[in-house]
Amino acid sequence: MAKNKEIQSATARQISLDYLCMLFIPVLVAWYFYRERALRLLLTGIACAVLCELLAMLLFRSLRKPMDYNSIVVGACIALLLPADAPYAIAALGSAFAVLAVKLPFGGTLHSPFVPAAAGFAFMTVCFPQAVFAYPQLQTGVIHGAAEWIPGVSLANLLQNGSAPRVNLQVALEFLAGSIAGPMGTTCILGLLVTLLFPMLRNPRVILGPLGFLISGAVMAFAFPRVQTTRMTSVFLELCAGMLLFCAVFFVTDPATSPKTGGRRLLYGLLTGFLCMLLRFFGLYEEGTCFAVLAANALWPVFEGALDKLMPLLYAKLPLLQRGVKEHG
Amino acid sequence: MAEPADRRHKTSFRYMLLRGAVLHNPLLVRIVGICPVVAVTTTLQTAVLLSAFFCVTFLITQTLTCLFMKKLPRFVRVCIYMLIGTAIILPLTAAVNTWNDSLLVGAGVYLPLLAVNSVTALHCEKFAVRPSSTLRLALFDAVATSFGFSLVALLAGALRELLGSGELWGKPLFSVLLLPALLMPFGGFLLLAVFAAALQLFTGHFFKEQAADASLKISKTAVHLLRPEVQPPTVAKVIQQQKETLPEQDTPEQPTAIQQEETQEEPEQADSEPALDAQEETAAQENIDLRDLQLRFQNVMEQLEQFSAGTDYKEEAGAEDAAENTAQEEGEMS
Repeated sequence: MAKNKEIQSATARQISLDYLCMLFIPVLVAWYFYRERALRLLLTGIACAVLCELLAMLLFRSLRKPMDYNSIVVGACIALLLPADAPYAIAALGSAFAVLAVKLPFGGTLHSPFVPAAAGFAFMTVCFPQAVFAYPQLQTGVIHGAAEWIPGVSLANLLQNGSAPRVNLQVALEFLAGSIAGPMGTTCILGLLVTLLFPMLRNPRVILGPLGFLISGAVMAFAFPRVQTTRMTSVFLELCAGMLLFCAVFFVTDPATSPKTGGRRLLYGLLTGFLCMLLRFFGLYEEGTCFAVLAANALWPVFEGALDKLMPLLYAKLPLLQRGVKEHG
Repeated sequence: MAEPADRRHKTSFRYMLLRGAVLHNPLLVRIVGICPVVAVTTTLQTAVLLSAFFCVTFLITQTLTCLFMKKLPRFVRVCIYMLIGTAIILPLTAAVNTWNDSLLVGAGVYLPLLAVNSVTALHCEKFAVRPSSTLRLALFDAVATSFGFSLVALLAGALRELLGSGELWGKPLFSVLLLPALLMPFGGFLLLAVFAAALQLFTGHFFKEQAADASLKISKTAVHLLRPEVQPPTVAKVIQQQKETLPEQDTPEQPTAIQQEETQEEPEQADSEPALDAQEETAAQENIDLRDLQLRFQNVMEQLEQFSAGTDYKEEAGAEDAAENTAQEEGEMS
């Protein structure tokens, strides 16, 4: 039993280290665009998450357990989802909620039924929607100080209001490079795509979740465009907007909540993407990806139960179908 | 067989208060009647209103049930609980409306819905209608449960108002770092969860033995939903298990825990326990095998019912049993 716990702890630590490596590019992008402010916000989120975990460990007398660095990942993810001019208290509160209310009560890393960082951000969204979605504008490309904060409009906000920017090559490159108003670590699409290579190299099956997520989002954007542009432009804008790709890379691949087999990972991604687009179409806030991830976390066990019942029936029918195909040509 | 002094202790008001308000708290341990608390207690005022309405409704319903409704069949009793609740809630609502109509706006539809509150029906059915329960014990139980309900509701209302809007009883105290999420039902659930965890910690520390009785047990159905690999027992498997264990027991048995629970739920049987014991002894002497088979069949049916019920509470022969037995003795003595 103790050996199993040690193995689990080592696995959790390894997974958290992988995520820390993956966070390198988003942190770099946040630092490039927002400089020391981004770093301060990141440090606040991380420090609060780690302190909360240490406090809980002290309270429940389990300080002997080695830390698995997951709190650092949670704090960093929450800070990267915030705008650069967000108050520090919001980042601290979101991290504390994620660790104390979502991660630790369910048994810590690899045991929580919800993605802690997504839950923390959802809590912040419900509590402080004005502050969470008030992004500073990037007029000159790079902002260096708090004095230069100018309220900006994010791409997700534009899409929610039904207005689309004209997309030419230069604008598309700006979107891909992340030179638009938005959450600190989520705007650089190219950086996130490069980040996605890391888990793909570690375990190719992991990519199926984000792939299903993006396919589902793209299909929904193609079928039901929110803005009056071409369907392909709608797909491009929807995939670049908000924190969709960030959630695909960091939340949909979460090993505690995502399924184990490849096919089911794809289905889980499709479900999450579908819910995400539904929330974008009908949701109250301009960005509902974290809510979609939480909803998928809650719904997936039900879907999996149904799959468990359906699959044996399907396999039982498969030989009959094959025989029928052979007989009838 | 417990000592009479111990039984007397378990029917004392102090013990009943501890059991009803802390160990078997309706909101935090039994998890019943949480809907109005989660939805309404966003301010201390509405929490006070909700608690007052609940206490009045519950006390009167439990008293009337204990006095007049023991002989009625269950399906009639449940309807009468609702009628009594409605008869109490309607004039109360009208009175509050004439006094201060803004209070009722905050409470919404959940205050009238207290007429069909599950806490009332559950406690009346589990306690007040037992032939052994006296008016004194029923009132003790009602007061203790109302106290536990009100305490949690008031605490939740005060905390939600303080942290969600920075006010207490309508007076603004601060406006920095407010959490409006706590004013939503999700915040109410979260707060109740924190309270439940704190209560579990408290009872586990100070009342270890009683806390074991009060703890919630996850049913097999829930385990099956969470872990599909754990398959539910089939009828054939359960019967097979019963058949395998049957030859090992040759002596006449005492009633099992399941049967004890059954006697708790059906007070008519509990009332005639001495007579049943005598019958059991003679029946065991006459035909032990038949008796065993009957017990096995009852066990099988009980297991299947438990599995299909979804949730079950671990309320075995604990404080309630002792209280019931003492009440029976008192009744016989009188």
